[in-house]
Amino acid sequence: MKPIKKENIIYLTLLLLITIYFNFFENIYVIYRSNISERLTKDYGYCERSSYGFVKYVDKKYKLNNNITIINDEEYPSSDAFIYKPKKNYNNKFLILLNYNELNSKIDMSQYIILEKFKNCFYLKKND
Amino acid sequence: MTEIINIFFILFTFLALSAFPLNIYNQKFTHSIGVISIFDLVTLNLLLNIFALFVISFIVIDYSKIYISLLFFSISTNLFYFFSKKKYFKFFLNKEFIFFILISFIIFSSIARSPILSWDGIENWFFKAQFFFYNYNFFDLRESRGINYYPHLGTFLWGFFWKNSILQYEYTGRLIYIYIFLLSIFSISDLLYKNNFIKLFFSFFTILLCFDNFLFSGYQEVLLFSFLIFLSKYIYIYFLNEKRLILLVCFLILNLIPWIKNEGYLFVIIFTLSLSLLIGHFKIKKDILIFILFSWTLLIVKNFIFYKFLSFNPAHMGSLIFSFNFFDIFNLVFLIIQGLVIAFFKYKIWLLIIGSFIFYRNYNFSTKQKFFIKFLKINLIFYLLLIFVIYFSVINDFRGLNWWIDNSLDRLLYGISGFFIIQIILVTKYYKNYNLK
Repeated sequence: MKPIKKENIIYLTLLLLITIYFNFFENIYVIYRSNISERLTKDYGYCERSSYGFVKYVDKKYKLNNNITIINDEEYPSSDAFIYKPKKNYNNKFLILLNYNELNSKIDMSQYIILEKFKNCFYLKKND
Repeated sequence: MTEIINIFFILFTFLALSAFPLNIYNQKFTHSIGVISIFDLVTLNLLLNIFALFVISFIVIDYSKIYISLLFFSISTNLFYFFSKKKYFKFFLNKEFIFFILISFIIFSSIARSPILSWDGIENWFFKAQFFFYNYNFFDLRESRGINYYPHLGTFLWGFFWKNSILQYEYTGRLIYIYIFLLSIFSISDLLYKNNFIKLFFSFFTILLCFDNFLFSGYQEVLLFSFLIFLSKYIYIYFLNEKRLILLVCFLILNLIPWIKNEGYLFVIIFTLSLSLLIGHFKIKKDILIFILFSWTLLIVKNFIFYKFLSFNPAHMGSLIFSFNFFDIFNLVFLIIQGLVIAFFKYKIWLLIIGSFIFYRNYNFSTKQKFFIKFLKINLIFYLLLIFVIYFSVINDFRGLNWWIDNSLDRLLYGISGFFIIQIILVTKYYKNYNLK
């Protein structure tokens, strides 16, 4: 049997170290077991942080054709990117409110009708 | 499983674009620029393709057709060489390159697992990439969300590969950043030659020291970092052999940088000013002069295009019309020094760079190498001045100096570090001799 070259051992060791450093096997397992939507919901939250899950749920259920304003009562980057449609107007009648803070909200809820609610996340329609 | 195949597919795409249009049988060209390794060839091919894609971003055209044509030509020409020349096969499938491919795949999986976008990524850069995903071009960007005057090259690549992947997931477009990042590190480590292991360890530790998951979540600094690595490598080779074609490669790299991030135009100014200060040392002064003049002309052209079609804002919320007192200056210097120390420890590659600048004088360099190190030092001084000027310009901004330094100095330094990694190689004493006849 041929002895393994020193060079090959070094290559394999470094590769193994990189595999461990970047959690390669765990990553592959996670990618294999969960779809992108589940992973993004885990990263951005369902109705917390940027609330990817809730925003996507509303977009899917109400088949939004235009853009709608998304307001987050907490300090997070805008969640518009999750459902933004380029070159489409904003429909100002509707609004998604995330992480609603009843003591200090950016939105006056009395001006809106609740179409969808999950914990502190709302899909709202402006009163006529 | 489909997603894993998707990642494999996108990696294959990057490889295909890196193996076209130059090949090792283009001997006249490859020899004259000193291409001796696979990473040189792959870098040059990728840069040419990036340049082609940059031009295409201004044209109304179906990006999928461009993608399919590029892939078709690359696969067909490479298959021809693979089957006709045994040497070609060996050239591509060496251990080092396979190692590079495997590491790319490992890091791709890390982004795929958690494809989150960071603040600037999701607020600004994403929308530009999305525009290109929907097949809009540069001139449509005035209607995109986010900051209008940010340049688009990085986001074009992002949108282009996002669109042309199997599953069309957003993160697939961002994998090109990892590919370019890794390629730049392997490419610069090519300057080491005496011992293959040193090369390997250098690549390994540089990846670990420079990889920051946060920066791969939509920021463009990684591209700046990588392009500055490419630039430092080829300008070093030019300093050694003064081949005109290498200067052309440097010209291409340098003038793509302002199209990645607005800071890029300051980098071009620093680079060309440093070159002009050393012009007396070059044999062919005319080439350097033309290089500088054309680079400045292209900067003006870029700013004119932005002025005409998008927004023109070279200062990015900064202003040079301000009122200040001496306490403000003292505070600025203190905060910058504090920020620099924090950033040096955050991106530890800087500790090695600083160390290599301090200890290099113990080695016996050739005159040309000493001349190059002088060039690096001039650049370093200019970059330090640049940092002061940048933060000086926001001294009266309502967010406060602290906010600016906390949020941007580390990223700025990360990008700049790419240009000086070459100094670490030079102090290892295992550098190649690029004095080609």
